[in-house]
Amino acid sequence: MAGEQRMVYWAFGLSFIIHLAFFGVFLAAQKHKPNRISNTTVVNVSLVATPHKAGRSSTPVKKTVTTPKKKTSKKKETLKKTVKVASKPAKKAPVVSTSGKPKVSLKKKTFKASKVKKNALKDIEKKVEKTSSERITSALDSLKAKVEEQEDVKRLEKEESAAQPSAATGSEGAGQGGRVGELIDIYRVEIAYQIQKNWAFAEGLAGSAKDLEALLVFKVMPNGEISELFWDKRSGNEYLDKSAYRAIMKANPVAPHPTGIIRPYVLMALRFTPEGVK
Amino acid sequence: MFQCFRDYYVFNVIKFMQKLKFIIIFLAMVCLNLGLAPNHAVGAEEYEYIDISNPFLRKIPTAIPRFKNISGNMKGRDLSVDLANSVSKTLEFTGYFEMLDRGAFLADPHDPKIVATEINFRNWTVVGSELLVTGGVAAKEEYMELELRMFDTFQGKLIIGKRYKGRISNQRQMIHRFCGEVMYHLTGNRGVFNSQIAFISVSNGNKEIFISEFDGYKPHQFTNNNAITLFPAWSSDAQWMAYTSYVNGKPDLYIRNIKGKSGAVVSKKGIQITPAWVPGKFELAATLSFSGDQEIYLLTGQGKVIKRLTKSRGIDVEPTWSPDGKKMAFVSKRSGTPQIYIKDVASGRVRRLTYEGRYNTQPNWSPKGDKIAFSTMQIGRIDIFTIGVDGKDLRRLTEDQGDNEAPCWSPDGSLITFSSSREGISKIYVMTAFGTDQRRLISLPGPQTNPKWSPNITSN
Amino acid sequence: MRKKLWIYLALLVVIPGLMFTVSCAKKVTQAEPSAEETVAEAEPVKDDSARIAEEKAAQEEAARQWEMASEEDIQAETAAKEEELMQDMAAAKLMFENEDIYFDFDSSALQTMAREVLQRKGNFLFELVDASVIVEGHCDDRGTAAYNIALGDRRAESAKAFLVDIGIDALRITTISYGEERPVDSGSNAEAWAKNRRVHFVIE
Repeated sequence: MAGEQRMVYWAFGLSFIIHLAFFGVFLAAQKHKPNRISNTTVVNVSLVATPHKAGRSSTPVKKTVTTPKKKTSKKKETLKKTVKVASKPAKKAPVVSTSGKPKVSLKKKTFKASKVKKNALKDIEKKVEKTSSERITSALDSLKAKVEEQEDVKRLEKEESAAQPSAATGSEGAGQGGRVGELIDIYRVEIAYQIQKNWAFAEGLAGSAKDLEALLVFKVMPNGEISELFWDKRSGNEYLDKSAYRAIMKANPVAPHPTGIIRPYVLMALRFTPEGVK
Repeated sequence: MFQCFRDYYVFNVIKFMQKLKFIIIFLAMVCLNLGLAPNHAVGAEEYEYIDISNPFLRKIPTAIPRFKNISGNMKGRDLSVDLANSVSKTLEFTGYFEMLDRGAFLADPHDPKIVATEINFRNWTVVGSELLVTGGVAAKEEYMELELRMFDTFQGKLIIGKRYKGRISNQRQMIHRFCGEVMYHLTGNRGVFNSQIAFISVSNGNKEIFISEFDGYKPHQFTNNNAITLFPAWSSDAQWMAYTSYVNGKPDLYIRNIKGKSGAVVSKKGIQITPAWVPGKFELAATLSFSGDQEIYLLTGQGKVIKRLTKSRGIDVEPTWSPDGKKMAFVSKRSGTPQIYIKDVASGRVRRLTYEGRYNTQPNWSPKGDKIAFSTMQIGRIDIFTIGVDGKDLRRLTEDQGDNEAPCWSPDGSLITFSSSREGISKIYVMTAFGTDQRRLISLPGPQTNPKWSPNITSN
Repeated sequence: MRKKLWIYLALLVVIPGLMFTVSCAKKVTQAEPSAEETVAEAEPVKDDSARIAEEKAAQEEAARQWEMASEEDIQAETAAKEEELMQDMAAAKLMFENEDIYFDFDSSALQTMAREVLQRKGNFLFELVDASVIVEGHCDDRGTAAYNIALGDRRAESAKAFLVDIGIDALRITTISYGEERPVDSGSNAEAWAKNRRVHFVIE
């Protein structure tokens, strides 16, 4: 009994010390940042670097492009894609496109050719530059943060179960275990932006309702096909609900699963909230 | 960055954990302290939502292929293109639709399919269109029969189907009626297609009132005063026009029937300017200065003063009524600079609406009732803003493009017309209520100012 | 600004001076009427009846001549005076109508300079008892049309109020505001704006 009690005290004492250490590190960590990043895996670097820089600098595109370019060829494709998601809307506003599928390229043509008036174009660009890129990147930021959190937990578990540290070095090897969750999250963000780019929503048609929120859940099959789409929650505004549904259907099929993911499907959950509507 | 020290922290924790057995306690503490509940979303009941909050396109992508020439003759062929363009332009005017380029369509342009059973909707969803408008036209001499349909491409469903018969010269009306149906389906009101715009343009060296259709089509001169004429104001039934004119050498108020010459004149000492009709009544507010002070009065449609509405030393001008006619916004200099105030007519209470800027004038109350558009002068430049009636949600609609003045809402509240000097001399423009899609409305020679959008005119 | 002020002051001294010399010159060149005495003493006395008749005739003639002469003289005199007065008046009127008063942006308050000008205009109106005056309020083209008409109205009203204060009958003064509709200088610079923010006076 006494032994156990002592152990509890030990635990609390240690906890206290660790907290002290934590806050010490909290303050000191900023200087150590580059070191820490170099210690993490290749994928991790791209994750951290891309959205963070994009989110904080006013000219997000160029900086982000440079870091991932140095990465290994295997990762290049996924990296490029994530960068694209962040950069595209900032530059060519009305062009709807993603990867090189024929369907998508058709769309690209449509929107490019459409005689969008100069003003409208400027306007969209302005808006996109002002809001979209910021929001996208900040959204990316928060997502990445989440991913990191999860990753930590997973790594904890992994190391706890005494997995070999070599998993971090081989990029292919990351396909198993905790890295998959991270890959999936990147993939999800990519799909989300693919869908956002297909989302057409005229503010004026939503009426004066405020704080609308439409929740949709669906599965993405390995070939990129969307299936089992259902409403988790309707906004109550028919126009918003319809537009969200259409955005997903227009994006279908989305990009296929990247090589790292070996799953029967990836579950997606999207929350459509038109912030511009007030 | 945050991740770094957390990693470090976690690393430390792990070290100790290997030595100690209370892994679970520690894990729980770590998790609690950092606020990260482990979340393995895949396959779980609680979904991890990704927010999508920024629509890429703030319009409805719409496809309008050229119409089908049902009659098969030359006239029908020309019409099949003209009418499709015309519908396209009319819908585009609303600012709600993004017209997709016909060159990108997958459907055969020479054999347009216009009914649901024949249309391959996949062809239309693939090019990104959410709405599809098809038309068929049969022309014979000066008459034509026009069938128009609108489909939801994703549901493959007919939303609106209409057939119009009439003279070819009446095609605008047919198209306006159909577009009215489209707007009714989407917004619950029939849009602006039956409205007109009055504005000031120069004729024979004098400012006179002109009137055009909602899209700037067919402008014609309404007054022929050979004197400065300003401040047109439509009555809410669009039957009466009030305005100020210097016909008798000074700014008097004229109230004139749109169709005839009958009406009244208010010609007191001083100025009589900025009339604004009370919604649903044959009464109007206007600024008169016979007392020596510029105050707003309520007048009958015959020009008799009912009562004085403002009581403050200094300028009070430019009344504009809430849609229910219970409140009146106006410009007053009572605080030292021109600002916008709102008066509750029944209680007589007045509150100040605008606090930003030192020169806020030209208020115009939205027909939806929730906002007021106005212009602000800053560093010599005038720009248009909207503000909530509660004083919140101030939004700038124009920027860096000359002076932008005299905003006036469309009867459905979706558009705002205004004058701008962005191309040099002042011209009439239109934009959406959010400030997007700014474009010139009227191309007459000389300067044009002070546009006033009419209510929808029901009796065509 | 100061330069302008000096010029105005100089003009104020020079113009009345010029007018004075002009009117004096007129007076000097004018001939004095002196016909009546010489006509009356023209003929010596003859016999009674004839003399009386003659006298009578002479008197009549004299009276007639005197009348004619005097009539002529008066005509000449009034014509000259009127001409003189007309020229005086024309110059004064010209000055009255040419001299505007100016205002600050978005203000209808009378500046010191404007008060001086208005005082002179008041003096002129005291002399010209029958004349009535139109006071026009104007604005520069900054700001918005309706507000500017109201502002022009206030400017005209403050000029009117000043004149009424110094004793001019209010009924003689009519105000009209033109707002920004009739600029004197269509330029878009500080100088043009300053010129356009004015009250202008017209004698009816």
